[in-house]
Amino acid sequence: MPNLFSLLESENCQIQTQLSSAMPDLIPTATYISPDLKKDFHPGCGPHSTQGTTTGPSDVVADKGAIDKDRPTEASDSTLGELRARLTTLQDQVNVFLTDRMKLGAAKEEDDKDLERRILDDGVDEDDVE
Amino acid sequence: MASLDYIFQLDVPFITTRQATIALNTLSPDPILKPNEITVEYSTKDTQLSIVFKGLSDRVIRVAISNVIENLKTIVECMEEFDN
Repeated sequence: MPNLFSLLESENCQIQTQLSSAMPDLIPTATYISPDLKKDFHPGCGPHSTQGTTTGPSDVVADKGAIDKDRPTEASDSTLGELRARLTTLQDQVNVFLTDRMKLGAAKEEDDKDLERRILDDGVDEDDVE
Repeated sequence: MASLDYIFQLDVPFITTRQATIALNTLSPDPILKPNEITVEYSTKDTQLSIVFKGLSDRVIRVAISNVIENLKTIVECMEEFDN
């Protein structure tokens, strides 16, 4: 099923673009498909920045006073500059989404192992487990 | 071969067909270290670059996607500086 919110947001951004600029905005999009889920990604209307929240040094390293020598430069006002900032937003969205999916998968795996352990070690009848 | 059931398609528009082709030609030589766990396919249509990742798990595709986007941002930055 298509993500209605994402589609509306895309349309809204395109209308704003046509009103504000002769040069069309470059908007990267993405689609994720797994055996149990389909999801569309759209960076939204912004504001966007090249300073991603899921890239660069971790908070722990940053708190120790580390200087990020690979820190991205700020995006220019050009069409390509805006594309780079939108790509950063999209990258953050995807990283957060897939990290959450990985945590869910790990938790489910742990539950399955726990169930197996209980059945084998404690003699719990599988039919009794919800 | 294991089933690569986790699919992610990234579509990136550029200003010109030439820029989309440059991005494809820059990204595509990057070797895939574990082709039995993930594949990455690049293509262009007019001004749009499309990248399709097919992987074994969310973990595998997450690493590949973030890496490719990071490289793509560098390519766009070069165009921004030298080709705009």
